[in-house]
Amino acid sequence: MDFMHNTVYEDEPIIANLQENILRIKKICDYSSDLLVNEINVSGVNVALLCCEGMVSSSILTELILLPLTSINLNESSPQNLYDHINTKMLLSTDRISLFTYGNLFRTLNSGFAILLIDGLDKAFAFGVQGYDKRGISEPTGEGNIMGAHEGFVEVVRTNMSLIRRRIKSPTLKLELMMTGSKSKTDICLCYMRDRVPEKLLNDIKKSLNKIDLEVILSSGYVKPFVENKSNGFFDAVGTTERPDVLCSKLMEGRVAILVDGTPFALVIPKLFNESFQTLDDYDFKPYYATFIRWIKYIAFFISVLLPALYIASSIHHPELLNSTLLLILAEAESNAPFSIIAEAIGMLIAYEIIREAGIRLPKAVGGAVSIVAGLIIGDAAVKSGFVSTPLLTVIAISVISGFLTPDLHQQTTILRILFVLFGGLWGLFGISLLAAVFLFNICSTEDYGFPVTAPISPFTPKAMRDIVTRINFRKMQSDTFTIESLKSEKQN
Amino acid sequence: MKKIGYGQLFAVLLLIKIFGFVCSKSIYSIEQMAGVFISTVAQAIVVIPMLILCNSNRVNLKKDVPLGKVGLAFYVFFFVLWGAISFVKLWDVTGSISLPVKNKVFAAFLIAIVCLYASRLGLKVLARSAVIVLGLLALALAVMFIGAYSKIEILNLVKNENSESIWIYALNDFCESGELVALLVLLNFTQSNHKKGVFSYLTAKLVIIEFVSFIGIGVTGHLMQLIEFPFFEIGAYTQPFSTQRADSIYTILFAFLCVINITVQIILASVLIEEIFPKYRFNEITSIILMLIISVAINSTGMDLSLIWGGLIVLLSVIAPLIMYIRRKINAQVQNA
Repeated sequence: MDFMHNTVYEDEPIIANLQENILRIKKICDYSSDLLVNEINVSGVNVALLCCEGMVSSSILTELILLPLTSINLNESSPQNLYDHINTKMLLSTDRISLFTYGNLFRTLNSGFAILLIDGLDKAFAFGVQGYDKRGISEPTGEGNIMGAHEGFVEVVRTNMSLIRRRIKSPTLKLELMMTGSKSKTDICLCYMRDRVPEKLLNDIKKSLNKIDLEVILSSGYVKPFVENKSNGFFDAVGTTERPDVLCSKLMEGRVAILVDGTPFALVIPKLFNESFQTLDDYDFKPYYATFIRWIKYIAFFISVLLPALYIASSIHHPELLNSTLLLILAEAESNAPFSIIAEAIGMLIAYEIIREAGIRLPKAVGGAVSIVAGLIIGDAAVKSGFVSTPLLTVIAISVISGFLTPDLHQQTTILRILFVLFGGLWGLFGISLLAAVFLFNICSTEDYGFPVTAPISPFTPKAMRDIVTRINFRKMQSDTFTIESLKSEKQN
Repeated sequence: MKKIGYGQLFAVLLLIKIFGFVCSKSIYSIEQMAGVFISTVAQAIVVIPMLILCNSNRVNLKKDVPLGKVGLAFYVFFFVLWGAISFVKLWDVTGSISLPVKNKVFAAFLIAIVCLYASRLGLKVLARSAVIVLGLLALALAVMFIGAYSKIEILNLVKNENSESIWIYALNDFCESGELVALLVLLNFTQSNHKKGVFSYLTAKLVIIEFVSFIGIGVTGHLMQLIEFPFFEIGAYTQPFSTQRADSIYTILFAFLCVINITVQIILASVLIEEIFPKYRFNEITSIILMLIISVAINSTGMDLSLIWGGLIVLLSVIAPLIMYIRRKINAQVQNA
C-alpha cells in the first residue's frame, strides 16, 4: 500500500476528467470494497455517483437524487451548465455541499453523503442522504429520572443537535460544527447561548479544541482532557450528561457544551462540584421535598466516603467515642475475625469493586450468576466462616449504597473511601483530618477556564447558594437569571 | 495581584486567631473576657494605618517596608518563627488530647507535608479552603452551644480572685495577635472592601472568644483553675452525645486549624522571600524546614519566647506600618509641593 501516496490527498484539488477522477479516488482508498461507483449520463454529460455501502438510504438516494438527475434535459449540454442547473434550479437535498478537494470529498463520503462527480469539472456535489443504521432515542442508562423526559442522546451528533434545538427554540442558541481527529475526522459540535456565554470562556475552549492533535476521536473521553484546564484536580472540572434537558438547562446558565459524534455523552464546561448532587427531578418536585432529598445526598456522600474510616478509627484509636453497648458489640465481633480490621475493610472494599466491575462487563446472561455468587456466597459465607465481621460488613454495605446516590462522583468516592480507611486505621481522626485537608485544598484548586469547581460555596456567592442549601422556588428563580459569569475566579473579578 | 476577596480575608484571619485561642492554656474568666474586649478595640485602632496604606495604593513591600530588604527579612523571620511556635503548640496540645500518633515529631512531619502541598497551591486556594473550614468551625461551635445550653450555671460567672488584672489579659491577647502582622501582607492580595473584611474579622473574633469563654466559665466554674487546655475541656464537658468523651471530635477541627495556620505562615514567608531573593525557587520548602528546626530547638530548650514574640508583634504591626504611613504622607506632601 502506498501510504505516502494516500496521505497527500488532503488538499489535493479534484481532477476534472471523470475517469481519472474515479481512478484517483479508488487509489486513495486503495480500492476499498464499500465504495460504490455508479456512472450515468445526464443530458449528454457523463457523471458518476459515489457512496459508501450501508451509509446511504437507498430510497432517499433514488427518489431525491437519481430520479431528478435522470430527468434533467439541458438545452446546451456542458459540464458547467449541468453544474449550474443542479446548483441553482434543483434542490435535491437540504444538506448540499460543493467540494473542491479530495480531503473534503472523503470526509463527506465517509459521513454518508452521496457524491456527484461531473466529467470536465474540478468540483463535485455532496448530498446529505445518510441512511446508516443508528440506535433510536431511548432513556439514558446512567441518569435516571422519574418526572423528566425519557430521551437521551444517541451516537449521531446531528440527532443530538436536533434534540437540543427542539428544547431551545431561540435563535441565540448557536450550534457550531467542527472536525477533529486527523484520521477519524470526527464531527464535534460546540453548543452555547450567544447572549449568555462569557466570550473569554468560549474563545479559550475553541483554542483548546484546536490544540487536539489526535488521530482518532472515538468518544467524549478523548476530548475531555484537552478542555480540562488544570488536569491535576481529583474531581472533575468538566461535566458529562446523556440528557438533552439537563444540557439545555446548563446552556441557559451560560455554559458551553460539546457534542462528539459517536458517543451519547456530551461534555459541559464548566462543572461545579455541587451539581453532582442535583438532578432535573429536583425541579419537578415540591421545593421542600427536593431540599430534603438534596440534603440526603449531601449526607450520603459523606457517609459513603467516611463511614468505614470513622468505624475503623473509632474501633482502633478512639473507642471513647462509642457508647458502651456499641463498644462491646464491636469488640466481640472483631475479636473473632482473623485479620486486622484495616485489612478486613480494604479486602471488603476491593471485593465489592471486583463484583461491581464484573457486573458491568459480564454478558447479561451471566449477570444473574454474579448476583448469586456475590450476595449469597461471598456475603453470607464470608460472615459465617468468620472471615469478616458482621458490623464491618454492614458498615461497608451502607457506605456503598450511599455512594449510589451520587453516581457522578463514583470514581472519586471509590478511591477516597479506601484512602480514608488507610489513614483512619493508621492515624485515627487525625489522619482522616489530614487527608480531608489535602483533598479540600485539591478541590479548591480545581478550576476550569477560571471557574472554580467549589463555587458558589467558595468563592462564596450568596445568591447562588440559595440553590445549594435549598431548592428555590421557580417564582424566585424567574426574578433574576443566574449565569456562571457570577462565579468567576477571584482573580478575574 | 489581587487574589482574594474580603470574605476570604475574614476567614483566613479568623481561623489563624482561633487556632491560637484553641491552643491557649490561659484560663477563662470575666477579667479575661474584658481584657480581650479592650485588646480588640486597641487592634481596631492599630489596623487603621494599614487600611489607609492599602486603600489608597498597594503597599510595595520591597520599597515601603522600613529598612528595605532588612525590614522584609524581619517579617520573614516573624512568619517562620510563628510557624515554629505553631508546631510547638501542636506538640503541647498532643500531650493533652489523644492524638493517635506515637511520635510527636512524626505528627509534625505529617502536618508539614500537607502544609507544603497546600502552600504550593497558593494563597487563593488557601483562602477558598478557609471559607469551607469556617463552616466546620461554625458547626463545632453550634455543637458546643447545644451541649452547653443545659449545663451553664449563671452563678459561675463571678469575678475570679486568682485571676490577673484586665490589662494583663488585654496585653497578652494583643501580644498573641500575630494576625495583625499577617494583615499587612494579606491586604496587598485582597481585592476590595478591606475595611469590611478586617472589622468583620475583629468583631467575629471578639464574639467567638467571648462566647466560648462565657460557655467555659458557665459550665466549668471553679474547675477552670485545674484545666490545661480550656477549649478542649469545654468540648468534653459540653458534649451532647451519650459517649464517654467527645473531645476527639475537636481533633478534626484542631487538625484543620493547624494546617490552615501553618500554611498561611509558609505562604507569607515565601512571598516575602521572593521579594528579597526573586530568583530563589525553594521558598516554601525552605520556610517549612526552618520552622521545623526552630520548633525542635524551642521544644528541646523549653525557652519562653513571650517577650520576643510580643515585641515583634508590636514592632511589625504597630511601629512599622505607622512609619510607612508617615513616610507616604511626607512623600505625598513633598510631591504636591
